[in-house]
Amino acid sequence: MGIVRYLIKRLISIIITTSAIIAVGYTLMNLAPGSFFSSTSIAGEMGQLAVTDPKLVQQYEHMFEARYGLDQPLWEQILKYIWHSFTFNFGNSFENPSTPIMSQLHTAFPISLELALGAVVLAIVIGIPLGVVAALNRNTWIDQVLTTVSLGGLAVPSYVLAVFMVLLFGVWWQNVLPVNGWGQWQDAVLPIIALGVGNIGSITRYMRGSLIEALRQDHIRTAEAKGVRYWPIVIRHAMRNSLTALITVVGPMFAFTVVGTIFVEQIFSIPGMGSLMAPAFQADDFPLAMAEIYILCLLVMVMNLLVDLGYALFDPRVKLE
Amino acid sequence: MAVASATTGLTLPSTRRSPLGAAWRRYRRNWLAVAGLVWVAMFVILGIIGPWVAPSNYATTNFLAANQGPTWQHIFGTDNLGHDMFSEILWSVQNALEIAFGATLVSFIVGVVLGLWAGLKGGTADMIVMRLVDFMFAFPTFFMDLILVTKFGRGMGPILFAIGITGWAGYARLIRSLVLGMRNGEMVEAARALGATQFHIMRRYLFPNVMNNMIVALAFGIPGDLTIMAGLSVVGMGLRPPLPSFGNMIAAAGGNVLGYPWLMYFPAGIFAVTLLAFLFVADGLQEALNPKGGF
Repeated sequence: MGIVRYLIKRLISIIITTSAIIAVGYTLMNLAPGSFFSSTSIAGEMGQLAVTDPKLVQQYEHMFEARYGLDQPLWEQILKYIWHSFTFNFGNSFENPSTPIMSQLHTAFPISLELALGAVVLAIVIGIPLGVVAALNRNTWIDQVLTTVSLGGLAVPSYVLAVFMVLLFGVWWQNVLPVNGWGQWQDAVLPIIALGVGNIGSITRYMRGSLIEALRQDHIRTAEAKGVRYWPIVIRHAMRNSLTALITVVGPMFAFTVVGTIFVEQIFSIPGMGSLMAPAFQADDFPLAMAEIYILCLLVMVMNLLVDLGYALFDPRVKLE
Repeated sequence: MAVASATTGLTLPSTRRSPLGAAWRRYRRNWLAVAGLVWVAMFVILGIIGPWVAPSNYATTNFLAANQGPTWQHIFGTDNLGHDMFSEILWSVQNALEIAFGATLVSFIVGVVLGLWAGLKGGTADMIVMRLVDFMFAFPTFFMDLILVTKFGRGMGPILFAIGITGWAGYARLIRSLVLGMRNGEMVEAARALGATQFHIMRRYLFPNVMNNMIVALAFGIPGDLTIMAGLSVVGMGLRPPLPSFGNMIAAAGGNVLGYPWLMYFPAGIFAVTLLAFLFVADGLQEALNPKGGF
């Protein structure tokens, strides 16, 4: 299949999936109990007003609904939302009626992207050598330590690591690395490590498994028999195969890391997507919440597409389908 | 299975080796998996008896004893409302286990039903299920959990349901691929050629093969659901306080760690060790039940 046809097919599937996410999310948010008016951020003031002047509250609610188009039928709202989402026009949020959501996300998104990309790159840079070392020393104590530690990295979620890091660098080793805020490059170090440890674990485990598998192949034995030396065999004949397939591990990892940024931003007080998302959900501010979900899902899907393209580029055996 | 001989007193290897016994021997060799199993067993026992042995109720506050470090009276210290952290943790264990096991069970049931339907029926059923699975895998389901929890509340039931209903895709895909692999496999073909009924084939060939893989998948699913549950708390959408949960304690400790670090040692430490233990058990089960790899 030609690459253009493949790209078109993938883009259509991304559009369908994001539209489905919007439709499901929007329906859920509209359907069940609870709304912005009953959420804590506004209920107090409105509650008082409802006692003294119930009519005014009703008028206010009508105006509010008209302004955000909530008085239209649900299917129309959803279609409109999907249509506008193509141009990233998400309107304004409930909490900040005067600022467009896009301008809020405009500053937040690059921060989250930087954290997520940093964590994945860190994992690749550290995970591959660790996996190779474990595979070449398979079934020795080195291998056992590495596999156990990487399983540990996989098990402990980023937010637990982040909290321990805050303790470590905020209390014991103060002034080594900042544990709070955003602005200088040092601020990114701890969050990226907290996010990356799990990914390092999965890359190490993957690399070990696939390299051991690759070293068992027939062409390796042939190369050995021909008298090729140890390192050229490992690097040129065995690692090449496992490295190309590594791309398939990075794809799902991205989804995992993007969710992780939300937690880590909360704990390190970083003004990224996560720090906007938590209050949006707590206040039932669903235009903002929906836009956040849309952007992050889109990011994950685009990254997966790039990963698949890269896989086909590096490995001529892979056919784009 | 070892059988002690009455006459010689020697221990002879049994001639009959049950697959479960063999699996258990393989499992025992991995000491981390055994240690994990011990911790998980302790955790489950604590989850059952925790509320009875806890010194105080999870909602009991004592402002006169707020923010105390560990003392003999409050061995894990107290938080800013004067909750006894030791009691909080004991109650949290129960909540964590109920939600993790419950949500995994919900995911499992939905996944098995859909996966079996897709694998056995094929055709349109297969297409529908696989499109759904693709959809669930296309984006992080954590966002769906957030929406569901926002709408249906932050109680035990809604969180269990939300995590359960979004986590089935992996099980469905696994079951379907196992069923498809088996259905066209030589073993089933041979059984069918010998005249075995559909039910017999399912019970004797399909079920045992699928079961091993499913046990491993379930074992990996439980720590995953625990992580999601605590993650909801970190974003502020976990169990609504005063209901105690590890996520709530970790999230609260994150803000207080500079002043009151003991609020973090115990909840975060126990939570991390528990996740490790569950994962070691899952890893051990994988080695024991699927020595060839797979899953």
